[in-house]
This record gives sequence, C-alpha cells and structure tokens, in this order.
Amino acid sequence: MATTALRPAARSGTGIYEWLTTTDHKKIGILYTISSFAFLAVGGLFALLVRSELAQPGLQFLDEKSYNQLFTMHATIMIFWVIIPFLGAIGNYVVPLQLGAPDMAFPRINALSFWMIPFSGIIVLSGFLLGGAADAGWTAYPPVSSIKYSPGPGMNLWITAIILIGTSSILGAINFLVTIFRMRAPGMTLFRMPILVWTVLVTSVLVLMATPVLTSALIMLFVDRNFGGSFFDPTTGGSAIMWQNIFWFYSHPAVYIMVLPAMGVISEIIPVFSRKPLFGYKAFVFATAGIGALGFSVWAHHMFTTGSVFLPFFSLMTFFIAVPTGVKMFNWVATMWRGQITFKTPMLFAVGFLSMFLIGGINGVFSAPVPVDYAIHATYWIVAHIHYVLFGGSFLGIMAGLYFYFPKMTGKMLDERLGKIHFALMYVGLNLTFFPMHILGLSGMPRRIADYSPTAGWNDLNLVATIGGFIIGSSMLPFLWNIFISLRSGEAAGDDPWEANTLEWATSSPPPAWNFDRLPPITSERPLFDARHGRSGKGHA
Amino acid sequence: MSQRLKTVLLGVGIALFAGACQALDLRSPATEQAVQIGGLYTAVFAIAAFVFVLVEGLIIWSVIRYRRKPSDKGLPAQTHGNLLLEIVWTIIPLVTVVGLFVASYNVLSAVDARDASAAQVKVEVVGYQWQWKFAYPDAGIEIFGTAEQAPQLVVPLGKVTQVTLSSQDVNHGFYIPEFLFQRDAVPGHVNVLQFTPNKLGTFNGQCSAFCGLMHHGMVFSIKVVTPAEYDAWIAANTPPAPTASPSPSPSPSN
Repeated sequence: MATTALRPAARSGTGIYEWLTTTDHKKIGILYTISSFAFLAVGGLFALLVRSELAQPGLQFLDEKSYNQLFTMHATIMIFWVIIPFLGAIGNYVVPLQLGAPDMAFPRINALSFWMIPFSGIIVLSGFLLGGAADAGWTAYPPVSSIKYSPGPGMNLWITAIILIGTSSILGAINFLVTIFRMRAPGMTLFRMPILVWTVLVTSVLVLMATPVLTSALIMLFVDRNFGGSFFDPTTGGSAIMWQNIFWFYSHPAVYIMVLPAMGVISEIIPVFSRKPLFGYKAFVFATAGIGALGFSVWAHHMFTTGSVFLPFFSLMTFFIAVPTGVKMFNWVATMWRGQITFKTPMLFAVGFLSMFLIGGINGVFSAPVPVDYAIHATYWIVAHIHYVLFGGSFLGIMAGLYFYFPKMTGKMLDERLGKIHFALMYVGLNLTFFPMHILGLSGMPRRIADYSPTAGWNDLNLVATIGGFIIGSSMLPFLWNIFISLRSGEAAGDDPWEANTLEWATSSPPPAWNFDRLPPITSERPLFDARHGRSGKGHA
Repeated sequence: MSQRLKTVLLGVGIALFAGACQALDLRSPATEQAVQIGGLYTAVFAIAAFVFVLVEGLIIWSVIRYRRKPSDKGLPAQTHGNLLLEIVWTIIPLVTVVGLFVASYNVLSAVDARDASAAQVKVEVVGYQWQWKFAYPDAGIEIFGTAEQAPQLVVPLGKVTQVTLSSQDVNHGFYIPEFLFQRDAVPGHVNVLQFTPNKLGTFNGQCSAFCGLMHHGMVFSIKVVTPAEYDAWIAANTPPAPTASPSPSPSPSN
C-alpha cells in the first residue's frame, strides 16, 4: 500500500510541547478549530457590543470612536480569523483523510500556516491597547483609511496582520492543491474525490489567484500611509476608486472562499443522512468550478454607486452567478428527495444551511439589477444579505461540519439533545437578528452608523435584531457545555458512527498519526458505502 | 406529526410570509426615476418570492415526507442524477436572469440618462466631514450644513433637477431613501445625476458611505415644493447683488 511507505514516525504524547510543535494535519486541524473558537468569542463580543449600542437611538454604551473600531474589527475578525480558518480547520482535518493520505503534502508549511493565524490575530487586536484599533471598516476604503483621516496605529497593525493572514491562506492553498493532486490513494481518480475535496480544490485556486492581489493592495496602502505614496490619494494624482477595484477583486471571490467549503461540508452530510448519493455529482463539480470562475467577474457590483463602473457587464455577470448556485440548491434538495432522512444534529445544521443560504442567495440577486442596487446599496439590506450568506450559509455549514466530525476528531459522540437546543436557539436567533435588517434597509437605514434618529422609525426593528443577537450568543452555551461533557463522558463513537461514505470513516476515531492501517478499494466516490453494501462502485450520471 | 399540527404550522408559515411580503414592500417612491426603480424592485421581488416559496417548500416537503421510518429496511433507490433535470434547472434560471437583466438594463438607461440640456434646476452637492454643502450656482445661494443644523435642499416639483456631486475629503454617499437612489461622492471624481421629483413633501437623506467618526451625523433633507414656491424661495434667498462695480477681484490673502 502506497501509504505505508510514507508513515511518519509515530510519536505519542499529548503534552503542550507536542501540540506546539506538531506537524500532524489532524492536530493542526484541531488547533485551527480552537483558534477559530477563541476569535469567534472575540468577534461575537464585538457584535453584541455593536448590537447593544444600536438597540435604541442615542449613544448609551459606546462613543463613535469605539463604535467605529468595533464594527470594523467585528467584520475583520469574523471573516479573516473565524470563518476562513474554521473552514481551514475542517479542510486540514478532513482532506488528507478523505484522500486516503497520511498527511498534507507539506506538513511543516502547514504548521507555519496555522501559527501565523493567532500571531497575526494578536497584532490586529493589539490596536485596542495601543491607542485605537482599525476604524475604517473592514473594506478600508481610502481616503478614510489614509494616514490623514485614520492617523492611529490601528490601520497599520490591521494592514500588517491582514498581509500575514493572507500569506497563511496562500501557503495553505498551495498545500491543499499539492496534496489533492499528488497524494490521492490508489484508485481515487479526480471524479471519485469527495465533494468536500472538490470545493477545497476550487477554493484553493481562488485563494491562490485572489489573495496576492489583496496583498499588493495592502502594501500600496501601507506605502501611502507611511512613506508618502500616492497610489490611492486623489490629491496627489492617485485614485481612491482604484482601491475599491483591487480590494473587491479579492474580496468578492473571498465570499466564495468562505462559502464553497461549507457547501462541500453539507454535500458530505446530506447524502449520509438521506442514505442516498449526492444527486448530480458532476453537475455539482462543474457548478463549483463555475462559481469559482464567475466569481472573478462580479467584483464591481460592490461599486455600482460610485459612478465609475462599466455597469452592464458587472450586472449581467452578477445575474449569471446566481445560476450555478441555484443548480447546487436543486441538487441538494434532489439528494433528500425520496431518501430516508434522519435528523441528527449535523443534518439539522445542513438543512438549516439550505433554508438560510437560500435567503442569502435570493437577497443578493437584488444587487444585480443596478437601479435596485442604487436603492439598497450600503443599507442594512446589504448587512442582512452578507449575514444570511456568511452566518446562515458558511457558519451553519461550519457548525454542521463540527457536529459531523467531532466524533472522528475525539472518538466521542456529542449529545443530541444539547445539539438540538443549540440549533433551535441559533436558528431562531439568526432570523430575529438578520431578517428585520431587510426592512431597515428598505426604510433607509445606512450601515455603519453608530446612532440614528428616534423619529426615523427604526427603533423596534433594531431592538428585535439586538434581542436576536443575544439569542445567538446564548446558543453557544449549550454547545460549549456539550463539548465539555462529551469529551469527559461522551458515548464512544467507533470508526463510523454515521454510516458515512468516505475514507475518513475507514479508520479509527481519532485516527492514528499515520491515518490508515489499510484502505478499502476505491471504485467510486463512496468507497465506504460500497464496502458496507458489498457493491463495486458504479459511475455517476 | 399530526394533521392538526401540520395545519397550524402551515398557517403560521403563510402568515409570516405574507407579513414579510408586506414589510418588504417599498415606501412610495418620490421621483419619476424612483417610480421606475420601484417597479423593477417589485418585479424582482415577485420572482424572488416565487423562488423562495418553491425551494423552501421543496426543502420542507422533503424533510417531512422522506424522514426515515421504522419500516425502511432496505436502502432507498440510489439515484445518482438525471441529466434532463439538470438541464432544466440550469436553463430556466438562466433564462429568468437574462430576462431580469434586460428589464434592469432598460430601467438603468432611464435612471442614469443624464441629458445636460434637459436640466431645469442645477445644484451642487459637496460632501465633507461631516456635513454637506448645497449650492445653487445660478442664484449664488450656498447652504452649509452643521452638526446642529442639517441642511435642506429645496427643489421644484416636476422639474428635472441636476446634481453635481463631489467630495472635499473622503468618500461620502448622497442617499435619499424615498428617491430609491444614492450616488457616491468620491474625491477626485465628479458625479452628475438627475431626478424629477413627483411628490411634494420633505424627504430625509443621509450619508451612506462610511466617512469616519461622525458618519451618522451627515443627515440632510430635501424639500419638494411647487415651482412657484421654488421661485419665491430662490428670490428670497439670493444674496443681494454686490453694489460696488465692477465687482472686486478676490482678495489675494486667504
């Protein structure tokens, strides 16, 4: 077996030193998870502070200065230090296992990728202690992000930290791509790879193409701020619009970077809990690639109101990108159709993803017709949209993945009852928080305002959104308690507690350092299903 | 799930959906351009609502109808896909979005039409941290907003108003919710936009592009008056013509 030759020296021990120096993709995946939770607590705290301030008109808890830092850092932390690394956690832990590989292609680079995350996170947060964190929004549009209008140290720290975490992503993407192309087990052709691997593959391509562009923009902004450059300074011949073009060339694909792997996760979960193969495997692969490709042609829909955009092209492309996403939605539903569905917690979150990401897809289409975008751009409608995508989509997908893979990672089952309480609270909370924001947006509430007039008619809906935010926060308590008690006294998981399809379930829970003692034959995208039912794989339509 | 419970849940679902549809209806638009934007919004919303009901309905139906039952001993049919279905659910959305694109392009052409010769009222709007300047260059009127006193733009009903929009410092957003419209004020770039108010009244506006510390303070209003009232307002606010002749050249100092 090809894998045995690569078996690394089996080191035992779970001491701190072992965790700090590990190059085992599974331990690194768990480190990613822990780090993401820590930053989730920080980003969530910022969100609750922002929502507390907005609950009623008038400034009760914060002043404008701290409000601006908090909403900037909420988005920054959630995007760069929570959602992307959470998906990195699942990718790191699962992809080598799904490929039947003993580890990632470059284990030490993998460790480097991880350690840049907490390190850069401390840098970006240190602004709060050094005279003010970044306060120009996570989009950091010049001139507001220039040294003249944001003179504190926060912006410089922010730029430095984003460059570092971007580098971490780039290294990770290279690692994933080489692993996927070079380390697949015998028999695993590209079209027998699990869908999660496909989504990680496309995501890695997006990271590799987009993130260096962001890095270059950040370096230019740093030069403008600190050495008198004039890339983005209109008073010295630069262009403030140019930043927006470069920034969104990265940041729109970044939305797909944040949602494609979550789609991959639920594409693993829904077939398992429906006892059917994923409907339209190849269509799904092509739709994923299509989203990746089209994702590079829609960036300027963030800039329709600037008056500096070739409107018809970006409008049409933005309409088009709805199509492959719709194809996936139908594929998921068709997978459940005539299946035998059981509602364990991972499946609850996966169906939660379907029902919420649908809203995030639909309310995003409203930005494609440019005149409608003129009405809703930069209002709370957009805040609702991005949260239905990143919370209703990515985050519910991440939660589904954590519930699904926790038994594999730890060898222990999570408690189902606590899991269902977690889901119910989070689902209700997220709708209470984000649905009213559509109505606030239509009635004219701009995003990023610290305060609003008591006569604007926005009081009640803001209060509802704040209550919803605290319900979301409270939903994490049963989850954390669940993890705590399950690690202590959870039911033993066994190799394959869900009757799953893919290779990660063909080894012990948790797997040994070298991952597999032996692999089943791989003749389809569901080798475990084939082995369980004594089938030899058949091609998919 | 009992039949009664199903009926109750269905009723609650329909009530929530109807309430949401009503809450997401647009407030009545106040310019001729906004009427068109509103019509486009309503068309997109109708399609969106249909897709929402269809897909959520399929999801809910699937998770209720296809739950695993104790009688389910064997595996369900292992359907791997269906090419015809895949084509159908690719083509139909594709045709729909192309249709929406054409509709939106037509509205865009009308909304963004900027025929300088059609302009009947010309105003300048300048954003600065953290208020607005409104100017009527033909009449020599300038209004500066302050933190205490939000500025008001006065425009006549039914006349084409042309706004020349710029910024002195950072990006701002000139946004009037009831006009269903906003345009960014970007330093180094002058935007020109036109609108034709079709409703009398005072409409609130606010900066929509984050512009620093007091972003939320950049509020203003637009008062739409009859043309006669507008002429009277212009006359009353036009500064007296300089008495000295010829007009002195600007002082070199300051």
